[in-house]
Amino acid sequence: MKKSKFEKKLFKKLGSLPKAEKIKIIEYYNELYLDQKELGKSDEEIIAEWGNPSDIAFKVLNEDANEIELSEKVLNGIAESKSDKDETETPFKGDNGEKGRQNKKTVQKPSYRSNGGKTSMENGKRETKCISIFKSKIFWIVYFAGFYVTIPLTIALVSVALALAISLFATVAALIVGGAGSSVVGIITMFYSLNDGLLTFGAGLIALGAGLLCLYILGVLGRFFKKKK
Amino acid sequence: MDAQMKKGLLDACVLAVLSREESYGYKLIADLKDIIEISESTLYPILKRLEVSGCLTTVSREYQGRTRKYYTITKGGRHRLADYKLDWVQMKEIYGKIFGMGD
Repeated sequence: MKKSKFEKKLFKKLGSLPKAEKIKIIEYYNELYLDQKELGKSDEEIIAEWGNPSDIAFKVLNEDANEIELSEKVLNGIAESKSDKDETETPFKGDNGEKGRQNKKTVQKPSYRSNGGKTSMENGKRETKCISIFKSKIFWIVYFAGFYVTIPLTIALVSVALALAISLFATVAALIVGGAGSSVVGIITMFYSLNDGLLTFGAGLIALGAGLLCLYILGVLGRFFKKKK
Repeated sequence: MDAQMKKGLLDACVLAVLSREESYGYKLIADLKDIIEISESTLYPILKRLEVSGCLTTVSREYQGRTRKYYTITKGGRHRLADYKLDWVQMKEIYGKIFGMGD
């Protein structure tokens, strides 16, 4: 099939589309044609790779119909429920001043998520949104505007958190090391004084056990929070 | 591969290629063919959809005496790509649990 015949057939098969859209599609294929001609391919080879104009038109029209149907469904859904909080629209709102297209693009976006398993993916996106607050300029403007309150408060919170973390691990380490040490000392003391030795050994074992138990609990908590993320 | 799943995957693939550098139709197909099965007729609706949703912009430039349309990823497109990466991490976890595939 020659290129001109292909274009005519494709134009005809795209019947229900607006003329401007049909021209865009023809231009798309024309560009592909020119690129492939530069590589030395013949008309027949190029068009054979593209396939049947009827199949191409069907794909384009099908895609268009799906998006129109979905747009209508989602628009109806939005109209019925004012509390629609699809925050996934946010990334596209201020993009390069293209707010004019917002209606259609925010309506279309949920379609890429409609395959199922949406909830777990949305949770991830909500977490990303929390982190993205710290990336917004407004947050930092407000933060530094009230620096006499926010900075000392931040330092205090970070210090408390660090102190808690350090003291927690220090306590566990002290219990383990102290307990092990006391157990060893207790064994040696038994040779001099059995009662004292047994007491020291026993206390050492209790401390060592408590330390190991705390370490195990910390490990479990750590794995729990890691899984939750 | 399931058609619906492939649809989302193709969007991610196109955005990923464009995130490296701007590209044009034939080059996009050539770059993507090594990764995923894609045809000229499949690419057009994807590009259209991504453009309408603000994930990419187009600019026509002269090339060897003719006009060639170049596609560039936008900030919104990069956000969408980041979402796709997050989706992949979660999908991997889910598949691992369901099919016992592990990491």
